Amino acid sequence: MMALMRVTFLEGVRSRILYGIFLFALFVVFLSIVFANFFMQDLGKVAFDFNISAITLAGLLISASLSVNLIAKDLDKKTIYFVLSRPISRMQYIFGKYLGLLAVFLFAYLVLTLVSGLALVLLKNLHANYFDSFSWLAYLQAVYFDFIKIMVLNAIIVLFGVITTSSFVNLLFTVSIYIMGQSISDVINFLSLERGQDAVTPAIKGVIAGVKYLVPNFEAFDFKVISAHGQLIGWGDFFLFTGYGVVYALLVLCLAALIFQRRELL
Amino acid sequence: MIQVENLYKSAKSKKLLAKRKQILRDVSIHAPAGKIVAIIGQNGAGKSTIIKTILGFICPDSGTVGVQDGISLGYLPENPYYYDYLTLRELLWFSASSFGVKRNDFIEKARAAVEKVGMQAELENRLRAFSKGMNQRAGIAAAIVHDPDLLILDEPMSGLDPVGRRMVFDLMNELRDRGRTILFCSHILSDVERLCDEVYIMHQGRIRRHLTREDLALTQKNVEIIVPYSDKAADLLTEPSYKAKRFANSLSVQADASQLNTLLDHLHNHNIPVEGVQSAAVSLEQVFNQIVTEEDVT
Repeated sequence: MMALMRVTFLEGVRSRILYGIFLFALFVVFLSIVFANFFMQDLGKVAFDFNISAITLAGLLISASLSVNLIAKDLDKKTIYFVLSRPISRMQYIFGKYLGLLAVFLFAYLVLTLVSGLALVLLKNLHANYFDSFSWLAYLQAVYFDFIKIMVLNAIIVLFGVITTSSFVNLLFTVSIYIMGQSISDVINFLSLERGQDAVTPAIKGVIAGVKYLVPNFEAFDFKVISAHGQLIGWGDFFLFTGYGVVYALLVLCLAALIFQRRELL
Repeated sequence: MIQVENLYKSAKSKKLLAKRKQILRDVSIHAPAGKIVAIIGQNGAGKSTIIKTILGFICPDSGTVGVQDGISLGYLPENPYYYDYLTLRELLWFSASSFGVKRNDFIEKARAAVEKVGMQAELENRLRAFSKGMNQRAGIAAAIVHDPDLLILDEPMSGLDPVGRRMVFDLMNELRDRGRTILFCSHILSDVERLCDEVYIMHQGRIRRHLTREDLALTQKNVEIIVPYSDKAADLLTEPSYKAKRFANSLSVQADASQLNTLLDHLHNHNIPVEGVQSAAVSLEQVFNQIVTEEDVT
């Protein structure tokens, strides 16, 4: 499994797409330095949001371009025959590929965090009075939970990767799940309000209740707002949200491995 | 080493509402240890499906596949496509390390493997720069780098130039001499004929003939009789069981070795002199074509 993880990591870091996305993210970080100067207030928070958003966007773009193709390419080009003829079980294949992907994201997040951190240092030195509430720990907290979100999202991509051989269909399903996961808590909050009670039929309410338990709540990993104010969450919440992400990803991967075990590789 | 018994496999037809297509029908194959066994057949005969079933990529509808426990396996897929962002050394390391080869042993094993396929100079080059033939050789190196007990090769000569074919030919012979077992599929029947201890001829999902080395030798026991050309000889030898051909002033007649005495008596009784008798080899290709033609007619 380690051999496969290493190969997947090499695939990621040698991909031109990754460096294209890096350049784009660096451009956005550079923009944050330029645009932050246009704001007369909350300049620190704007810079913070800009930089964290650049990292999030880069994470999503890498998922959409690199991750969705990972298993599809192996199946399409029949490289999978070469891999699975080694003493690598199908479960090890799924986990090896996934861990290799996570290593790519870890590398990407480290580079992007470092670069955006440098941009923030520069802005902080230029406009120190706007960075009173800024905290590096809060900044890392936001990046960390963004990474957890990407971890869950990529487990879903792997699941769809074993169900369909089409990268496009995989992307379509993943984007749908991402949108649902990002907005499900807003929908539930709305339905719990008085004006939301009669907004949908009971049947749809039932579907939404089901979706709530099925799709991951991506909003739960969004700590941008409180982190921008320099606030840290408690250790209890830290472990709760981390555990939620890890357990969800593990369950999805086990389901992917189960489906893949039964799949015929004609 | 490999025992396949009564294998059946069907697959969904690409046409809507059509019946399932039968890919394998009652296939039994035995590859004994230390032998080279080939499966030959037309495209779509089911050769690769047998290999994929042995390797566990697909599940048979019925039948059993047994591979000896505790052996290491090397596999070369048909038209191999590897991770082209890797260098040849990285590909070999991936292959060897997944079989538990340690870093210290790897250097020696990798050197030996690339030497056998003539790619010593390519170790640090990325696979994406390789031609089809080089990719095939890289695949063979990856299949043998950990010195497996059993080698399964799907069209190993495909895409290779004559030098490469010779190299693979010698390599397979060398591996057999070292007691390794090789199961392979090929279209190049002349190589199969010279290399194999056993041959399975497949047609339309069935094993049509199983030939051992002795059988292969027997199929080559046809005889050719040469007589001077005359109208009388031509009339006499037009029987369908004899295959007569005119060459200038002589007539060449091919027949089964068992018919030799009858034919000689026949010629003697009609005062036709015999200029010569020699063995006429029937190639594996002729046997194969005969099986395929017979099947297509029936």
